[in-house]
Amino acid sequence: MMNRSTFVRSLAVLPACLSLGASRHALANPDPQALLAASDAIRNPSQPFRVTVTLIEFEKGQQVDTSTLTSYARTMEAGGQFATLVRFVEPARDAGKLMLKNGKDLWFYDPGTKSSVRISPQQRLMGEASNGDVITVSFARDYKATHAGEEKTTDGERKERKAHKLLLAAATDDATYAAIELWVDTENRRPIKARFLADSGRLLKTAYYRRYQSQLGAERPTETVIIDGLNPQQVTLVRLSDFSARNIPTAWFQRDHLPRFQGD
Amino acid sequence: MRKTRARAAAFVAAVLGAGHPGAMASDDAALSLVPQAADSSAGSGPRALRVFGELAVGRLGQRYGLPSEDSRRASLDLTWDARFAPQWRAVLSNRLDDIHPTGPGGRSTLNSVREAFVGWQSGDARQGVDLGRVNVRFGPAYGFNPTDYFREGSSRAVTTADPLALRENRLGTVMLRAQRLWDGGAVSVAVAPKLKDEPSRESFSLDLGATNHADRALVSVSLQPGGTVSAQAFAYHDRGTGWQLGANGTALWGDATVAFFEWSGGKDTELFSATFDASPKVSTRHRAAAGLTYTTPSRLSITGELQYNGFALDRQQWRQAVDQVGIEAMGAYLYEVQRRQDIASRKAVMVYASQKDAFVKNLDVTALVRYNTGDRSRFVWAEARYHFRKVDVALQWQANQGRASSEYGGLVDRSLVQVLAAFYF
Repeated sequence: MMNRSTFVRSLAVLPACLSLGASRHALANPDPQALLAASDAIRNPSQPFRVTVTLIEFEKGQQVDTSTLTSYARTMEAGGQFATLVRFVEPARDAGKLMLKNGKDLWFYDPGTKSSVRISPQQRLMGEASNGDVITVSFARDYKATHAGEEKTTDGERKERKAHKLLLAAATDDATYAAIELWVDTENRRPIKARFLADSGRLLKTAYYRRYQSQLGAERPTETVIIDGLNPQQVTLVRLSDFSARNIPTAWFQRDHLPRFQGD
Repeated sequence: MRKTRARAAAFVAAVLGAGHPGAMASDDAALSLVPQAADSSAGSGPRALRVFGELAVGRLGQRYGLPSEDSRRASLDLTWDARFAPQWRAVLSNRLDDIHPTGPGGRSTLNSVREAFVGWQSGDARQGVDLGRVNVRFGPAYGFNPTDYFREGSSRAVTTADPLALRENRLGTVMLRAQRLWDGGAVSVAVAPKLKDEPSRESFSLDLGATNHADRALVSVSLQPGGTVSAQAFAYHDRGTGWQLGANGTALWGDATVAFFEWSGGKDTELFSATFDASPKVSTRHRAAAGLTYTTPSRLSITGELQYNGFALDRQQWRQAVDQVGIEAMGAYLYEVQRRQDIASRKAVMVYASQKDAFVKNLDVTALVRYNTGDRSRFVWAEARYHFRKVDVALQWQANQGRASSEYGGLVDRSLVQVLAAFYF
């Protein structure tokens, strides 16, 4: 835990860290915010889309749970954040349940009880995976990026890559995390891995983006390996399949539409 | 300001690379993990038919010198929701319960046709119309929903004390409903005609008298003034009793707390009069519920809810009523309250707690307490439920506690322990 004096000292060091990084890399590196946006564009299709999400949970190396979801995502206005509607498919007990994320708004709908319940970001619906792990997020909209240099890092396939290291600081209230460290491939701007930090600076999780495949017009990561920051023995694989562009009405992302939702 | 400073600290930690040492070895192990199952993308489309069954056996403890009894229940639950044309859907939802022992005059076998309707919606999903028996439910509170105007008579078979699970059994109301959505809001109108005078206890009755016993109409307007606040307003009319107005709202507070409230005021039948008088007295009163749900990082959610019902008996009136008709006859009052999905006391408190993955993965522990602040009696319910892939196994315990002349202490049923298995197909 950082006390006040440590915090103040750290703030004093911060400009030095940043200016050192900036002087070494200013000429060689593009605008960090543009890099972040380019990396986002690889993770997320620009058009409204549907994708199947399979969550595979491991504890101490053993597979302990699997669930399947269908995700519908689109931006609500030009340059805006994604809104995501997730329908539970498996296990059967959860089939048909919905989770809606639109800005800070997070709703859970159960077709059995016919109730739409507002939930807090801390209410996880999918085992160890956080709700944020299965929704589509544009980092560039909610975070301010700073370039922290180039370095070699290991990717999700355990190969060494040369990467831009970006430090993302939450810039809007919609940002889920206080800060993110993101490594972006210098060759093709693909996201390689990210470390997500809490307000306290504690590591919440590490994510590796891997299994790049051609989907909806670009090479995109189709698997994210998420390692819990507190207990690295808890690992979730988030697999994406069946990408398809869809004409998704904006009305789908309203709480009042949830009882009518059928998907496709 | 505090959040800004904390986030700045997190950013500093990121700059300085705090917490990074030692991470790589475990990352390497995580990246080597191979799932047992192949990708399950097949069959990921919407399922038109959802079916599950439940079997429960238990032991019921009773008061007034009555012996303990075995209890058992078998239930089959079916929902079919299919699109038969691009903008049209048909929904049929049915539940069959066989419950032992039964209450006085009750049937052991009860079939509930919960929903049977046809729906249409426009291509942009902004307009929709439904016709048939539709389950329309409003209200963010957990245990008492004053703005859930179609709740009366909707629970044909009471199979659980869990207020969230109980809603799965409720009957819809035959109505014509139209809805219009716009960015940030929606308006809906529902018109439900009177179809029968009285509820039916026949096993396979549609029980239209339970849900369509009067001409009723409801107009609701939903607004989303901000990303973290939502509100709904209602105008409800029952030809037999008159108008009620209502409102509810929710708000997100930080990352872990959701606040909610419901209020409804207007004309309705007084509950004691509805139970014992041939011509029930209609009054103008209020109902309200307000509460908070807080969730810890370890997935423990706790909800506290304050409840108020101006149509129910207060502490003094309860005592007078017990003196007047006797505690046993007050069972009829409590039955009427349950039928109306109301609360029996003027003021009550409910606490609901749920821990996901308690102690071991896939074990959920849930508990609730309903507390009558007037007579200090309480209802306590707890459940431990383990989720296998296609089967849930649960152990449930519940008890009615309090003085002999109190709401819960006067009930015949003292306690129930039961084991339940739910099968999902």
